[in-house]
Amino acid sequence: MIYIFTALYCEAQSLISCYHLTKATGITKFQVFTNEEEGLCLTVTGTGNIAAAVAVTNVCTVFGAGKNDFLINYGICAGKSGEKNICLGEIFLCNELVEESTCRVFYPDIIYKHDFREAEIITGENVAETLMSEVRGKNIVLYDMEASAVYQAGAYFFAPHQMSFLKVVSDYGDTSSVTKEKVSQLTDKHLEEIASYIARLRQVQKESELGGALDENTMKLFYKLCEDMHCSKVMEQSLMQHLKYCVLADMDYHKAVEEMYREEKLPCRDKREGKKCLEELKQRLL
Amino acid sequence: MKSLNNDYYNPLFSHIYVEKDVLDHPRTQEILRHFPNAVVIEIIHYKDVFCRRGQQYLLQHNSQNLIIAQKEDNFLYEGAPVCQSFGNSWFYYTSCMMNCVYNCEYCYLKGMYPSGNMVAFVNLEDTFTEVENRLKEHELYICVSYDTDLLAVENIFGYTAEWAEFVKKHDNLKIEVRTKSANKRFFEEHEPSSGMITAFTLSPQYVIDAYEHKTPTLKARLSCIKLAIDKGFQVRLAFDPMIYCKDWRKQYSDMLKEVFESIDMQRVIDVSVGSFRISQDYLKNMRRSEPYSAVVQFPYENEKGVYQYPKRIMQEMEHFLVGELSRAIPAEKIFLWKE
Repeated sequence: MIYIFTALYCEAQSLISCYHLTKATGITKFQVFTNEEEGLCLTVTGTGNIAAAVAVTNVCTVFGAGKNDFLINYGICAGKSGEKNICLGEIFLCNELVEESTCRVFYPDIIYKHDFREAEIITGENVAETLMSEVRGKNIVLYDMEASAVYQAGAYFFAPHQMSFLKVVSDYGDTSSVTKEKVSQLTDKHLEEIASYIARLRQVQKESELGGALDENTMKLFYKLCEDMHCSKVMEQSLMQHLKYCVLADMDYHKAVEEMYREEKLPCRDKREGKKCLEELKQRLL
Repeated sequence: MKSLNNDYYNPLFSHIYVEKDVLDHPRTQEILRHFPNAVVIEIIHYKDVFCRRGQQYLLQHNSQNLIIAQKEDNFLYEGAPVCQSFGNSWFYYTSCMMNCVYNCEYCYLKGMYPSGNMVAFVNLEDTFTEVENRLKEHELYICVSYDTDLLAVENIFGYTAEWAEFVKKHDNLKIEVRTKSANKRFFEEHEPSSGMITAFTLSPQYVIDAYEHKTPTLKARLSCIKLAIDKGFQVRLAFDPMIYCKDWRKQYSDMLKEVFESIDMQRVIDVSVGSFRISQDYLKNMRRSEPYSAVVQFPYENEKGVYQYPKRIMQEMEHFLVGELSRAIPAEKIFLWKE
């Protein structure tokens, strides 16, 4: 699943219609939109640190977010005028998130290729009217109200490479002109880029799901052997490790097992016999 | 994640994190010169990036980033019991870089470090000062390329050359530079010294293909070793770790045949032999992060906190290799790792 978190509904609107997301009924505290087939779950968190952190925690817990999932925090931010050619309407992938209140810094891993400009962002508690220019001696050019909180809450479910922070510059600190319509317009403008980024993450997801653990037949054999050898927990672990190795190293373990059944060494009468039998099987396998 | 298309990943060192205090250090500037397109991110302390919670070593290795930092303490570590001391009594190692550009599935670094990113400490002089202080008390044998492969990245960092220069000034210092690289350029451009031993790790091509990703072929390594010996460098061959596979005898025989055909073994200073072994804590981490790696998932046996091959396999493999090597090199030059 790809979990998208926006602070406002108007930031989410274009994604909701693009991916035909429908409102989920299970969660009532936040607006959650999903499309199971697309593997997308979008949550409108509300503005500010607390709302963002609570929404991320709640949704990720309910949906069981984990190691093959991704988190995207998408929305608007303020930019510092005159710095590094920050233009209104421009989109950034944030490589460094600073929490204004504590000066703590978080670094999402930028592992996958992307087409965005990168920048650092500071997350504050109030709407930015005068942007902080220096935090820990660094010149930060973007300002929002959720990113560092989303990261911190997200870190309970995701590794640093699974979290992306995409921010569109809506203003230079003067929010009077930032209307819902303008926000929708700005976020809509980057829909194509976002969609292609989501598509790339999906590909990554698909490939990482390949491979699985031991196949069904091997697992069946494992359970049968455990029973026939009267395996204790330790014996089970040892047997599993041997089978796993044989599968990964492309070694034929069936032959050794079949031989032992043919020689009537299996099934064993009790655990004592099972222990001996396991040792012999291990010898035959390696 | 082994099959993941490389097109998804950012290139090596696409992002370089630099500690603010060393941003203007000449070595930092020289390293950055090699990566004009990298995104440079200023940080306070390397651990802010290197020690983050929940990092995935293997994924990060696919798009390895660099952290440039300053080493504050622990300039010298005592040699670990699982490492070969080659009869040297004052055996230490240094860590002027952490992690490696090569991606060997069985490498202990994958179990030891929380991150797959590389760290380069630029204040080498502080390590040199510490070494000089110790040298006033006694001789030293230092492995300078343990937690990394310095020669593999020599063209960027130049640390081996700096150590080579340093060792020339101190008669009672011996260093070992361990590598899987085939960096001929280094041996062509530098002069040998009696205090520096280059230890080349050799494995059968089957093992290289299966487990030592991104490393040079056996042939390339042997060609580099030949050049190093011809140029007068002191060369050690490390058949360590030996890796088990079903037809290990044939694989190691074929490898030795190629080694003996390419290298005059009489000119090798010594060889080391040791089958794969690893601390239980590291293997535990590796098994979690590399569920599909055969070499990591091998059913090793735990001997006092160290995982190793079952005794029968271990003894067979080591005795075989020592026996074969004895035909080409005097027995006293063969160091077999023992607990």
